[in-house]
Amino acid sequence: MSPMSMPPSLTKLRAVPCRYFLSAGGCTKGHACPFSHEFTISRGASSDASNSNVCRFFLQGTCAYGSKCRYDHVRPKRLPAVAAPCAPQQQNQQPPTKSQTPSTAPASTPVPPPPRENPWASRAANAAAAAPPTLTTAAAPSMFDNGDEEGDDDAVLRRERALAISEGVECGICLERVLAKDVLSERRFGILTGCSHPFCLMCIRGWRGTTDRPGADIDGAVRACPLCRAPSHFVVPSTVWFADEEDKDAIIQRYVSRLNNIDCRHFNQGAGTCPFGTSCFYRHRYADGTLEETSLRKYGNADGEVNIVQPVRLAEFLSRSHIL
Amino acid sequence: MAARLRLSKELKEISRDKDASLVLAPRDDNLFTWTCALTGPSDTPYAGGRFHLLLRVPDTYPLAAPTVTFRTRIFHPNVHFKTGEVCLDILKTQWSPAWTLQSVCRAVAALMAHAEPDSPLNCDAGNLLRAGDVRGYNSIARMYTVECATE
Repeated sequence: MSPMSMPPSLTKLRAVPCRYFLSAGGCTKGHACPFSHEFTISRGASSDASNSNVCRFFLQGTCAYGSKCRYDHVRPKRLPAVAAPCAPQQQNQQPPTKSQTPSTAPASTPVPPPPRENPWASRAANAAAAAPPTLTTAAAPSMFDNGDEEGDDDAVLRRERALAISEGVECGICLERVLAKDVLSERRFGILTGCSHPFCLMCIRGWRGTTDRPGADIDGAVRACPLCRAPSHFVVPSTVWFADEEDKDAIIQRYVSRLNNIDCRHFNQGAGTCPFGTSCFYRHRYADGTLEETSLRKYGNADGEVNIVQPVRLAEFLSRSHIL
Repeated sequence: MAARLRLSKELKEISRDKDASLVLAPRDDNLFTWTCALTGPSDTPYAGGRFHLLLRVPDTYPLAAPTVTFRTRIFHPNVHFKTGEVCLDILKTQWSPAWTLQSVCRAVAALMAHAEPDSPLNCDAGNLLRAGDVRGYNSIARMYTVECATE
């Protein structure tokens, strides 16, 4: 969408960096997003690209979403000494923020995450000085940075190798090199669980979303790999392509475990019903902290097919009842 | 936008390896309408004929399939005799964005060699093949090839 074709209220948004486009999942709106997908602007807003997935409200101690937040609730561990005085202040603020009046809030001016060296870049320079510097290390947000523990040298080498492989990988749908796409948010791979054909995240998500096409063969074509027709149940976003099955499993595991730390908004702490049920990647946790028990009720019919009974809630009958 | 990028990419790919039996080019510099001149496959009644196809590319390409029609009259079970409409599963339910316009044209050429008489658009041709009258089908198809597809 060009800025000319947008209403004036939306053209203003062009100057505002999109929050999602640097996150691991990417911005699902792509070109249609009214916010800026310019990397230069985003870099100005958050001093380090790899920090962009950390919730800034959490860093201030005031994230209203709590465990449901889509951003990472982690504090950067490898802070330079300059930032050290901020840390205790944030921790002290965290518990009483809800009781505090808003007037005290401006006193704690939002502290942007302090700039820190990309740990991968510096470690790679020490470990393998011969390796050529890759632009993507600095430019692209990385899935590998999301882990809390420091990577060892083996992991660095592994990452270097993965980046070198990723450079030349072409998407099977748009036929472009994924890491050479114009828009930075589109430089993401969508990994299919069923096979190892590369696609960019936008393309494969776009294709799997075409279920409303008349006569579409959803299981045989849309939910399958466009190249080999191997069915996949979900797409895993990643900023690097994998070298072997081990790497692929690691990327998928990392993605699934990351989602498993976020509360499911459909389940809504037991108040709602999640359409994905036991297959949901998000966490199904009740308000008291206990996890949902996954017990499936099955029944077999006369034809020998086994079906799963969806749990029925009394509240659904009550809300539909005319007596109340 | 995505469609335009992909189509120009395909155009570049096509101009790199030229194939005399399959000449594919955009019509009037419009990337969303392409013409294709297809040579009939050998060992078929269409051998030696030159068949012209028109490919209309939707805005949502490659997520949606292009529509392919024959501009040259052809007697074939899966091609409508009057409109030239093609009945091919990969252009309908089995479409996948990994297909290119060139591979679609190759699939049409393969369809000419291996007709599917069980899902006919041209019932006369389908009935001939289903009744096992290969000789009758071949001679009619040959006649229309000589009549309409020979320049």
